[in-house]
Amino acid sequence: MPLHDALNETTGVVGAIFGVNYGAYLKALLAIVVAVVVAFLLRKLVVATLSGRLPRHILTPLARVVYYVVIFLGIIGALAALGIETSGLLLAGGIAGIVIGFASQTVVSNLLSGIFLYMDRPFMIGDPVDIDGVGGVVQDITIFSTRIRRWDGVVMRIPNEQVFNSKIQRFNGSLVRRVEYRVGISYGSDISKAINVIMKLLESEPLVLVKPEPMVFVEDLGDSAVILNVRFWVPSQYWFPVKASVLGKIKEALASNGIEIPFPQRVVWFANKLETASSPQDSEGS
Amino acid sequence: MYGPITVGTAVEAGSSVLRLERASDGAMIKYTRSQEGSTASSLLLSPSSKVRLLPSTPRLLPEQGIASCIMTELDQPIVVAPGESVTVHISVPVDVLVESIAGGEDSRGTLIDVFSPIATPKLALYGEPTEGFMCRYWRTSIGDTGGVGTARARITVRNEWEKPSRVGVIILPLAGLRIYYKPGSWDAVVSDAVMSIGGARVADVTLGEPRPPEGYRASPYFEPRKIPGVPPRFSMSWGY
Repeated sequence: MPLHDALNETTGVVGAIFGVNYGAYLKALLAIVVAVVVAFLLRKLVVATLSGRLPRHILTPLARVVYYVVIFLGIIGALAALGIETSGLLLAGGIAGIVIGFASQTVVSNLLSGIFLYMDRPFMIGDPVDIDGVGGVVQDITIFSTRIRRWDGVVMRIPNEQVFNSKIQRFNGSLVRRVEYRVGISYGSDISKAINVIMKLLESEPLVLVKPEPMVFVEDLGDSAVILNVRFWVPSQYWFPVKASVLGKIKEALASNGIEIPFPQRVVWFANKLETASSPQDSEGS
Repeated sequence: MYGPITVGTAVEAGSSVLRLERASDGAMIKYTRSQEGSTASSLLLSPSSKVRLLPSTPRLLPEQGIASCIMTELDQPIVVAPGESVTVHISVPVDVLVESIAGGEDSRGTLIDVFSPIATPKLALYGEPTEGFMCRYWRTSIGDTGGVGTARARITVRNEWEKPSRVGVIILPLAGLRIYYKPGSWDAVVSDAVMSIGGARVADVTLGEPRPPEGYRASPYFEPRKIPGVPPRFSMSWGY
């Protein structure tokens, strides 16, 4: 015999004896007990499934939300079993839900983005990153936002939704990073000599890697200079100090070897011979 | 030369000169290291300080903690026939340490200087940028007997593949690589290694048991094995 029928039958018998609809109470109680058991099991399942993927401060509230949602549904079921009209309640709850939903749309979106960020793990705390143009070191990742200590020391809070939808550059994602410069030398300079001078300088730099090999080549014949492209690799964690120091050394090495780094210049030819004035007065008199 | 330095002496180490002398106040000891005429390092030590020079496997320069291996590139590659095994001697770079000591000869003191006496310490990437290894780079030739700033390494190359193999690069892991020195000389050797070639681009390098040769002392400066008791091994998966 199905449970529902058995309960109805019990309701009839017990109600006839005591004049009270005990079956409805029994159904309501059963609904709450089932909800508590299901909520308990679901909470356990959520914790067991996500414990390795989510940090504790996100996992605990998430499991709690799941638990209380199921309990709430159980209470609704219990009220329905007692004959209390829940459609009004649900309607009111629905309207309230819509209002709260609209109001907390951003909060929920950030929360979900935070969870997805933890699953995707595009970066970890301590990583040097650039998120949507904000560069710095990841200081903290909370349930709603990510805090970045910018290169200038200012701590910036970025909502997780924005982080999740942004292009993220993680600077320590690989062992090595490339440094690239464009160096202009004059048209009169010896290109081979300039390349040799730069290559020799790179050889003397301890943090410039031998492999992948450094490269120096003519990239462009510019308006006023031959543009050399200088590329070399360094350990990722030393990218900035090396980048900051080597360009100045290249300039000095080129200068000490007589290789000119020219200013922008333009040669202008006039169709007619120019008349020049020796002084302002001459110019006014003419 | 490896071992203690007495006050009032100057030690020449490649392009560097180390001096230990009484400071101008007559009590303190002044340590200086000059390189190509300019002072590269200088500090004062208390009057009873003792100083010694020791070799270390090349894991401190150019910066500590970057390199996990030594990439030795051979000037002249060797070709090993299938099933054949050859033993070669090459050199590897050494970091020279200057330390202030208080205890016994086998214990570590306090590091006061570290330098490479022969060349600019350089690095190279072995493998891919995202999953490769950062190595201390060194160019050597077969039969290189070493000298100041280097240590000798005996490598047995065993071709277990079916085709002749051309070996131009040998990678030695730093974890578990021991270094031994002869006090009073610049002579140093590192652990023996066996390179087993298993395919066109694959080889395994296994370090031998730590056993100092006769008359040599073990330097306390090395990176310990990752798993105690298990011979250190490096898988060369990006060619040799």
